[in-house]
Amino acid sequence: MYRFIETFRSAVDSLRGHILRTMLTMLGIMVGVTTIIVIVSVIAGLDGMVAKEFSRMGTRVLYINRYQWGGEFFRRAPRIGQKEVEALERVGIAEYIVPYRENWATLSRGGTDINGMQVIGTSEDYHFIREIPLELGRFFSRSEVDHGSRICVIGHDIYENLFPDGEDPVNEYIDIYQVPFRVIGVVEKQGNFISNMSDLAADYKVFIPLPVSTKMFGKWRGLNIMVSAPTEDMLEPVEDECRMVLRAVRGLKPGAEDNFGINSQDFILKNFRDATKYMWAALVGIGALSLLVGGIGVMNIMLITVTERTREIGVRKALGAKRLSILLQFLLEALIVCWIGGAIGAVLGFLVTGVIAAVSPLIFVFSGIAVGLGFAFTSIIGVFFGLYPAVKAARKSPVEALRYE
Amino acid sequence: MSGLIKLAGVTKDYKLGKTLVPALRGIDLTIDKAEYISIMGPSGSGKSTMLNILGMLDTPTSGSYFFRGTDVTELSDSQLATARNREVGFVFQTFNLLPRATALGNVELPLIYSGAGRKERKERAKQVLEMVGLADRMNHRPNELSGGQRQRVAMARALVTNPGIILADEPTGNLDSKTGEEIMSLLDELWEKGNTIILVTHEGFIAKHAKRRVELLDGHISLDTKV
Ligand SMILES: Nc1ncnc2c1ncn2[C@@H]1O[C@H](COP(=O)(O)OP(=O)(O)O)[C@@H](O)[C@H]1O
Ligand SMILES: [Mg+2]
Repeated sequence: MYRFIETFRSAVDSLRGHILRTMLTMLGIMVGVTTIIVIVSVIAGLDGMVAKEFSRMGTRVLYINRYQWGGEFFRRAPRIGQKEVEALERVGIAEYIVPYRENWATLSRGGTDINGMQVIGTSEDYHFIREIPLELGRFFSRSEVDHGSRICVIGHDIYENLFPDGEDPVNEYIDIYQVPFRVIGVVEKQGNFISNMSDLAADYKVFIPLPVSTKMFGKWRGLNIMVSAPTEDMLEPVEDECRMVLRAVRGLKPGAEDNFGINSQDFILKNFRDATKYMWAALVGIGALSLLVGGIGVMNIMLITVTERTREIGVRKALGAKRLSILLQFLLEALIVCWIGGAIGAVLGFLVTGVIAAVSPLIFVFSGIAVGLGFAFTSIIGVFFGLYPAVKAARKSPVEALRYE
Repeated sequence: MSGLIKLAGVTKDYKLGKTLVPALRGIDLTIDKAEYISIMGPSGSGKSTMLNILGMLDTPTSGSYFFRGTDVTELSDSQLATARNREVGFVFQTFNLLPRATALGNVELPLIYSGAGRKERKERAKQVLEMVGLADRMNHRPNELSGGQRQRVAMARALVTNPGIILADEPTGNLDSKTGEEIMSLLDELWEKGNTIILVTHEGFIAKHAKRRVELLDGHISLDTKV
């Protein structure tokens, strides 16, 4: 240990003696580490953003659909109907059971039409499960659902389009599929760029009571059912029970495949991560490659250093330095260059990531993984590319080294 | 096994491309403790080669070398390094100081390799630098010192581990005659304190300081006499 400190000191001394060269050598490593940190942080940030976005679907909500998401669509499966809803209502450990039906229709008001809006027929519990914050008005009540009142809660973009002058929409009427509906609430603006591409935000949706939807559009599209668990930990037991109940109501024999799908946000997140992991790996690879280039720079400079300091090596050996001391000295020099370059690169990397996060919807993640990876990579690079020059130095014969001009 | 150093039939060949250059052609030599020997001879006669072998910097091609009764040719690289560190001190014609280290730093160097603690090292290095008359130059770098002062730093460095044997290869070769005499009187002083001195030179008046003269010619010992 003691000798290690001495070796460390003399390595630092000789690096300080060649400030310019040391800095040039560091540059390559610095750029490499900056690249890795930025790439890994951006990936972590993107992933965090996507995960947050999907979590809007509820982290303790199961979606019971006709098909498994990401599974086969051609398999024959019966539509989900009232029978399944009633069966699921017997699952005691579930919190809410919310059926909904999706249709698409043209909305209009005073001569303005907007086409292809999603009309969701559902029950009063929908906004408890999906936590849909209202900007104006309220969501519909149990009795309104039971009565089949023609009332609706509209998404923010629909509101903006149909009420361009910003008038109070509550208690005004809009036409859905040419049937007049009274507006009772407006959902807060939710969208950002991911949710606009997917279907997660309520900005283009209109909510109406389920019986009204069934009367207007029929049952051919089938139901979907959201089932929420009281806590995230309960999600799995709830899923198991739902599966059991559904299999029973569908009369599936043991060993037969499910003919329904039980989905969750976790499941699409997993799918998303599966689909993107190779891309991320490739990006990290690019970062690692730039570090490799930096490492070759380190080896080059270390080889020059070793040659230049042949005489010093001879002197040290004459005074009693063992091969290992000389080897450690030059290896440490390479490592120190890599570490300092890496540290500066890490700071730069986080600065760059911070700036990216500030000007984009990306979430800034201080990625410990990125720091760990960067440190590990630079150390490996330092040892890998520093070893050859250091061995060369250690192997020099003392007499030859002392004769070197 | 009498004597501090015993060479028998030592030869050394250097490879230059495909040809072998014989630098030593069969040296028999015994040196006792506290001797003061000069090794003389024309340029290329093998003086440095012999000194390097004596100092365990290099190993003979053939023949045997016993140092304090130990067969040096049997030692590993790491054992040779330890032996150089503890048993001998080198003084070179070109000083061979580390340019970026201070006088003190240079003198400390052998102690780093012997594993001495920081405090002990500083104390010992200061003590030796004082002894060679450089108490006021400890924090100077070699390029801030005169040739004579540099050679004193080198001598302090050779002495710092208390080796008992000083090997000097033309220590006055790069110095003017007055400074050279100063260095020589330092060597004389060290011999009087009981150190063994082996001095390579090609100048007769330098060799006069020694008590025994060995002359080399073409890799052979041509003369070995008490003065
Ligand atoms: N490393 C070496 N490679 C090849 N030849 C060498 C080497 N060292 C010394 N020699 C040769 O060996 C002979 C003796 O050299 P050296 O011991 O340095 O002589 P001196 O010190 O007496 O001038 C010379 O001919 C020299 O050229
Ligand atoms: Mg010579």
